Amino acid sequence: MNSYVVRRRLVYLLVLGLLLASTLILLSLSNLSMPSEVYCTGWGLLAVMGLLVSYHWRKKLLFLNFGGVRYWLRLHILFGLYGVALFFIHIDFSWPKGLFNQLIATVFLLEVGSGMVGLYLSRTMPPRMTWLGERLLYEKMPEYYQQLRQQAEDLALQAAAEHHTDTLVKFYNRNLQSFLLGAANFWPHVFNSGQVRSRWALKFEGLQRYLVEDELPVVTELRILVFRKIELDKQYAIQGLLRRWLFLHIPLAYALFIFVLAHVMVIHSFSGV
Amino acid sequence: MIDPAMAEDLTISQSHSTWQLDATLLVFEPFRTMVSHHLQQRLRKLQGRYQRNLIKLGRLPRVQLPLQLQAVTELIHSLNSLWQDIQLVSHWVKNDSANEWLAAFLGKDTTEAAHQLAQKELQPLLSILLHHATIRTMEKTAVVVRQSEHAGNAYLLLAGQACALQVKEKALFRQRPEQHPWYQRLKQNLLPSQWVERRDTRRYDAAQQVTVAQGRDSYLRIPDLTEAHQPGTPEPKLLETGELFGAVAALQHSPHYRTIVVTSEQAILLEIRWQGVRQLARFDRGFRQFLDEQYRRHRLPALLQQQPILLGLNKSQLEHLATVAELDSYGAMDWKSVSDQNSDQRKSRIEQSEPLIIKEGDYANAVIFIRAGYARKSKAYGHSERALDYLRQGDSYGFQEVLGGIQLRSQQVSELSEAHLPRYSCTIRAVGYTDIIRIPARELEKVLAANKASTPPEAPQPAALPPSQQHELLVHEASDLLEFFIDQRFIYGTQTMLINLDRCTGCDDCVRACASVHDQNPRFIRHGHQHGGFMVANACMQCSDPLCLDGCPTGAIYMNNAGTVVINDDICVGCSTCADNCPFDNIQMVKIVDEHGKPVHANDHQGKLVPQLKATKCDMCTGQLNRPACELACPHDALRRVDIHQVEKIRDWLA
Ligand code: SF4
Ligand code: SF4
Ligand code: SF4
Repeated sequence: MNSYVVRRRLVYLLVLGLLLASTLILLSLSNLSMPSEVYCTGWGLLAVMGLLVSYHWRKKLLFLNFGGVRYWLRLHILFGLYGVALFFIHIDFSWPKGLFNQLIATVFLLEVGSGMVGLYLSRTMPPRMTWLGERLLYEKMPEYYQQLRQQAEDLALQAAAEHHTDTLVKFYNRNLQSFLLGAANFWPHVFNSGQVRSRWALKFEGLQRYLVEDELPVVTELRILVFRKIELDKQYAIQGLLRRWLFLHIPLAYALFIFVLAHVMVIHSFSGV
Repeated sequence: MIDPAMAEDLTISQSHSTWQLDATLLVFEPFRTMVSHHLQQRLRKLQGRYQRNLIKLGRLPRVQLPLQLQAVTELIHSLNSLWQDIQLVSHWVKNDSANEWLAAFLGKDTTEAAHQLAQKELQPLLSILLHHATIRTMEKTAVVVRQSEHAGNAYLLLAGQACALQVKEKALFRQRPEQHPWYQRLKQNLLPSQWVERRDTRRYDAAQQVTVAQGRDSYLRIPDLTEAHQPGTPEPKLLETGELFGAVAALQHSPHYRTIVVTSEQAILLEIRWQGVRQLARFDRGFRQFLDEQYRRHRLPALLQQQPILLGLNKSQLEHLATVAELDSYGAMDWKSVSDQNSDQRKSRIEQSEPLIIKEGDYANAVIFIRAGYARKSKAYGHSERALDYLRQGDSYGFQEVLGGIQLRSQQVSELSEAHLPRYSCTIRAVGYTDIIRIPARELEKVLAANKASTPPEAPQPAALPPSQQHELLVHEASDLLEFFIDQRFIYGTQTMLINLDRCTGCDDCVRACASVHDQNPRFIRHGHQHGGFMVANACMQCSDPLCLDGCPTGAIYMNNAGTVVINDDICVGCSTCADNCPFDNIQMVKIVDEHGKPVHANDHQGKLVPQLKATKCDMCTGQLNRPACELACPHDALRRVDIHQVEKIRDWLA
């Protein structure tokens, strides 16, 4: 981690600390009764949520001269963390009663969790992909799969025609065909498991026992293709994950927003405020 | 008008040709090879273009496509017109032997035996013309070259008349609304059009009145010259048959000063691409001297005046330096990106493809300026050379060393030994083609001595000449980056799109942002050359010496005042010249649709109805309030537009 990143994180912590401290000081100075304090933190939380959702709109309304999205993401993270703290103050550090409130709390925590996971993924996965070779476009990957499959099939057929044995073709049909069909081993690749590679290495070693000397170069080529496919799978898995977490985070955010509005309305109509 | 005899000659007929060389041209092996080479190159380009467009439209997978029939017809057509060009030029050479320029050009008296001369000596010339020249016929009011447009071609007026003047920018269709109103932008963002590349076709009406669309032979017209003349600029100057214009600018690839408009009923022009001008200058000494002389007189003093070290010099001193300056050219026009496996390969590749201009350790006897092109500045390191920097047009090298020498002599050190001689601390090599100006140290010394005030009070000591240790360290760390940029020729870029792969999550926010402000079609591809942890994406880099501007027939693609290369959609005739010229493949030809989503068609040169193509590229979001959208949209600070010259800044950002 370079010094710039360290400095930036320290600034984050500092600003967050200051925000929290000033909130706590304000709350203690104002000497509010418990219901009014909950009322204040509730509105605060709603404002923070509005700010968090505005990040999504900032991305859509790029023409506005409101600074780069990168700054907005930093604010989004900062206020996200602040929102978590405010949430716990709001619920007074105890699990809420009532089914609806529990639902809101659960969605909130899921939303925060998905955000954290997303943040973690977007910081750790790109560097992992950097060393997987050429960065490919996600939409184009099916094409690459198709190319690999074609090459492997040609190799197996060519070997069968040249050496008049069907060992390689059988191996292709039994093992490779389905493997080369498309992306595979999503989770092992997400967790960076070396298992897939080792398994294939073993398979190829096993196959070599039944081949004649002349067929070995073809096996080497096939092995290279398989290893390229594994690299492709890794990229596919990581890029897929980096896209998919948003499918959780964004709908949850809007669901939460609607629940919270309902929550506000309920409180207003029943508290008589 | 073409006279009837000439017109007869233009038809391809081997049996009736009056000139043997023409008739047998294709029988000669070297010519056959040349023509077939040319065709192959063209075929490859055409095929590439078709593939790209088709793939882009998502119609076909990325597999080998058969060449379209249309492309073959186009090829035959181009071969025919090449053939006609050769014949016309031959005819002209034969008949117009008293032409002054031709005499200078050939460096001989052309009245004697033009036929034999042509047989013997014009073969290289014809080969240059075959590759780099065409005959253009233009009607009255046609614009030949436009002011402040990067010169891609030089022209020789073969018949007719033209006039040179400064016109209002409006006449060249360069005044597009710089800013879209806010409500349009809001609509664009919130309610994007359902059509990709949709155009308001009514906008084209005005342009169509003054555009003659004939593929690569298209041109723009200025119907009323008096109305178009920019007030307060010099009176229009008449150009007569035999006049050559734009050659110096084409040689340097620098902007034209004036707009040139045809004033006779018809004019015939020999259009020579800048590469052709360079080759002609090599082919003929007389022509080179003629160009050098023009350059020395008109452009060199201005370039010298911009040098901080020469700021105190008066006009006559600058002119003196311009007179004594030596002009030199190195390298070739063509280049390809390279990657070496080891230092031996690298060394021999650099030695072969990058001619030496200055050698580290040699006696520093001159200061050089880059007149056109680029040069690598490096120092010996290990078994090879390590890049420290690169020089581009207007940059100089050798001042410090030469000044060091001057100061040493002025101190009248009693014994000047070998070790005291000022030496160059770096090696300078031509990257691609490089034109330089060399000013001898003794002349510089004379001028500076006569003008003491202009000498810097504290000229650096020879010992302090090499960069400080600290700077060297910094540069060395960045040199790996520099090597990559130089080898892949990304040094052209002033707004290169770099993507930091350690940060890019592939969210495509940048792509979407670009599409949202550019007719639902992003102007770049988030893919490209990768080097370690970053990628140079396929986006226009806004080159400092943009090759894409060469030969645009209507001047639709041009460099605006901010240094951005933009395309004026109104007068783009879709001829693909720019897309073919961009060495980085950063211009895409797209089919457009009208307001109702219907494909727009146009007539091709054979009168057939074909889809109207338009050239598109990254324009740095010109006309947008908040730009560049791609950089602004990236949430992870993974995308930046950078000037490759600021390599240390880039290195810091990538770290
Ligand atoms: S289109 Fe190509 S040549 Fe033209 S400025 Fe862009 S990158 Fe350079
Ligand atoms: S600067 Fe604008 S036009 Fe160019 S790639 Fe970025 S968003 Fe697209
Ligand atoms: S917006 Fe940034 S992170 Fe997303 S794809 Fe573009 S460069 Fe990568």
